[in-house]
Amino acid sequence: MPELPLLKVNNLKVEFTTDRSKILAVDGIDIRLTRGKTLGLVGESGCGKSVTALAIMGLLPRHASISGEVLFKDQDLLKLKKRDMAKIRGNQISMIFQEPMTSLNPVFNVEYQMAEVFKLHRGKSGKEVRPEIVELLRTVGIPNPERRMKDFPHQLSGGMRQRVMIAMAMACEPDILIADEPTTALDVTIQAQILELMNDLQRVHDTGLLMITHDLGVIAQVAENVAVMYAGHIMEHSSVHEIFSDPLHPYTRGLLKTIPRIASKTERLEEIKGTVPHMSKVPPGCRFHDRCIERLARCSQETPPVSQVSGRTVRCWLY
Amino acid sequence: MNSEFKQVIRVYKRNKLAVVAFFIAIILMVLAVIGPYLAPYDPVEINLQLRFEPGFWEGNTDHLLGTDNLGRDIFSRILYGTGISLKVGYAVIAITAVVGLFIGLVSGYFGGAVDIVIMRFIDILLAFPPLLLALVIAATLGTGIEKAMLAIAIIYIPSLARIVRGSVLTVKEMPYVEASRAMGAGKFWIIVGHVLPNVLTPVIVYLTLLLGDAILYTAALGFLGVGIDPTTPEWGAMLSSGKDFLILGKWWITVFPGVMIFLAVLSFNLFGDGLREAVDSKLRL
Amino acid sequence: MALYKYFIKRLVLTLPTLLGVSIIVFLLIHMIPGDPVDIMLGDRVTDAAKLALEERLGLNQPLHIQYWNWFSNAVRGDFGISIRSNQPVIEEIMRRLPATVELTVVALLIAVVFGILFGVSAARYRNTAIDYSTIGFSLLGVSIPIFWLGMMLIFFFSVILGWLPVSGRLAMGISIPQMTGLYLVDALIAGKISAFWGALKHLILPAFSLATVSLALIVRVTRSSMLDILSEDYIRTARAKGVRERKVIYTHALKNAMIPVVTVIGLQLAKLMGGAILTETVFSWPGIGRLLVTAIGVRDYPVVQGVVFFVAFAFIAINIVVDLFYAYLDPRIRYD
Repeated sequence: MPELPLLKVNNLKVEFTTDRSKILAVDGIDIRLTRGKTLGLVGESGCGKSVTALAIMGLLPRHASISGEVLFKDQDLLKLKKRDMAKIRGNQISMIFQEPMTSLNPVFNVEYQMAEVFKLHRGKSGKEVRPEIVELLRTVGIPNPERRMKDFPHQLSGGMRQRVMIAMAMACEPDILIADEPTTALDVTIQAQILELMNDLQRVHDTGLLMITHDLGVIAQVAENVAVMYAGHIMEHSSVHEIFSDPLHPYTRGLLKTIPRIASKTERLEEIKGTVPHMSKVPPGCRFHDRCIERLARCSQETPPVSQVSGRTVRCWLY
Repeated sequence: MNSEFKQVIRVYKRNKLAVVAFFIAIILMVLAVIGPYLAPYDPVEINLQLRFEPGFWEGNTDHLLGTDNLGRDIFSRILYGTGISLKVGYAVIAITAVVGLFIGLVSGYFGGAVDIVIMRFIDILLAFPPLLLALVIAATLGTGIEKAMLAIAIIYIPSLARIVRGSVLTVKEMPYVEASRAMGAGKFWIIVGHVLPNVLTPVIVYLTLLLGDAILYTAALGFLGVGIDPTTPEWGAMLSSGKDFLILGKWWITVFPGVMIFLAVLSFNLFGDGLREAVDSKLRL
Repeated sequence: MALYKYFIKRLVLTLPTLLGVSIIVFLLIHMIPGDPVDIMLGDRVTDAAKLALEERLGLNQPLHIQYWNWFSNAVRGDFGISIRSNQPVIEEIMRRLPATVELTVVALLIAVVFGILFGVSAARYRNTAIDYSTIGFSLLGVSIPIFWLGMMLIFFFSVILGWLPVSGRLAMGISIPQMTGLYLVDALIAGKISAFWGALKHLILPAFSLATVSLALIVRVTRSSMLDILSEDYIRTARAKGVRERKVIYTHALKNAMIPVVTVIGLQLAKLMGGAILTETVFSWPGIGRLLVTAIGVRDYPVVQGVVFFVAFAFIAINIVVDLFYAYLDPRIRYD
């Protein structure tokens, strides 16, 4: 029996209003996140995946208007007051970001920044949590934690900073961890270590992980389910096996083709012709139609709805 | 080069406040020149019968802004004062630019012992609160507008020299300078041809912000009666002579010169700010 | 590097500057035209009297000997005797120093406290009425001449409204037992509340007029610094951790934002010291600023030298303190 989802996002729309224009960055997407499982949210830059994550966390700026539902434990997070949402952040839902080099406050040491999470959500004092912090740092693989926690961020490498971020995020054993391109700014070898760390932690704490990335390799390594996002729409939502073995949406197929294979003999790298549209100038009909090689006449006129295909969902007129 | 200039102007125009400030600044500069010709009276002529006359608000059409404690016409004095303040301001800019550039270039380009000595000297000068420095130097040099100009310029020269030196140090290492040297260019040519143009931008920005400040210092020296002869129709000096009579209700002797100082400083400051923003945006693009 | 090691390092580096300052001060003062002896003796100048006076004042010795005499004494706190009043210069300075300190400190407090508060509010409520009015005020404040502002304040509050006194530190007839020389502090210690209020009323206008320009500048810098910091990634992290907005602004953001603000505050100290000279003149405030102006007028060398050197020295010392605070705020500096 399939588990009840921990997080249900229904028809989420996010619109940014600037002096000049309104931009609909996310236009009606649905997401399901299950305990202990990982959902990979894939897409190129500008497709709206980070905005989605920030919307769930309630971290969007004032000039953003959000509609839809974000259901977590029978509560619609979008309807919560700021103070109540703050109690959930870092506590039941945590997030880590892409740039470890700038994500830690340079004027406070590691111990202070980690102790803060405990003080906020568990009400403990600085002295009480010290052993917990040491243990946490050791778990994420930081050598000599008792000494390193007195360090300031600029004394740590990028990989170590990201480990500290993960430690902070997992400190209160959250139900959900959202990771927005956590390894993009790191070296490939460190990348593998960080992903493995996240996998381990997830297993131990049974956390639901929302992994946002543009890298299909990362998806292959950590995700059970995948949602492919393009220009504010979710184009395809399947299990990871199905995505790789039998991709339905032309965009997904195009993405898979662009992965260079060392064994193949072709000389030119594959590409998807055209560029991602700016969200203020979205093409009519299906948003991908101008770059789609399997385009039908209908595709440029009507936007395809989300349709079910043997347990998966796709937004495409081919189905 | 020309298109960059046009772009700076375009960005500047967007800032409405700065545009207004620009026009006020122009008006002041015009007044500085033609002021003496517009003035109905001699600014230093004492007329003890007409002391403390109020101005147009009490129907006085002879002396629009009233007369001061020695019967001098305030309107005329203000007009003359515009010229004085602006003249000192521009002179300060000129002196600071020339001396500051020279010292900064020498210090930066030749380096070594020369650099160390000059920088130490600059440190020492910067150890003084600026007004104090200007005060003592003006007192040392004696009375006279030119001496006041020099005294005030000495406040800014160390900072400008430092900025110039910094720029020089950066430019010195640039590949195109090395290339020039390899082609046999002499030191002087390099300094003038390469270093100077690149140094100019931060220098100009610094100088535009300087004018408003310089006018304030001029007024301060005039107010304290140091370096500027108290009888000259300088705005600050006017404030000083009117100070004691404020309590007696003769407010026009101090309000008008003060408003002029405020207006001048404000418009030049806004102009400088607007210019700096416009130039910055060019740099960012 | 620990904070105190950084302190020692800075101290040692400033000693040559201090020496240079003393030399410059000495040379400058001695180049002031006008012979103090002539001024002192007035009409009764005879050559013999002149020589005698010069001898007594040590003015007939070669310049470098005069400098050395002065400097070696100055380091011990002996700045010589005032030509005008015959009192030791150091006593003249000390007698008036508390007045200036009180004025400058209160002005600084006003400028820093309100400056930071308004600056943070403007950044937090960006593009609202609070923001616009704050920016407007700071634009005006930076351009206004302090001495004129002082006069206008007097005119408005003393002459027209009659709420506040016109000049001086205290009304006639009221006395406060002198402990620190700071009237506010002394009045509180002695428990004389009415005297305290009196002193406060005398202090408000001068302190405010002195503080205005610095206040405007601090508001501006704080606002722009806060705006920069608030867009940084680590602020987003703090919010993602669930930190309350108030703590995000006043702890996470402010400590970082203060770094450039402290620099500006350090620079403002110099302006305040200079401005005190002007303010004391406007309000007839019995501080060292007024002492200096009078001394320049009568060519009282020892007093001018003493005051200038004293002020420069104080300024250098304060700068070291500011640097220390800087290093405390931003640990990245200490580890260079």
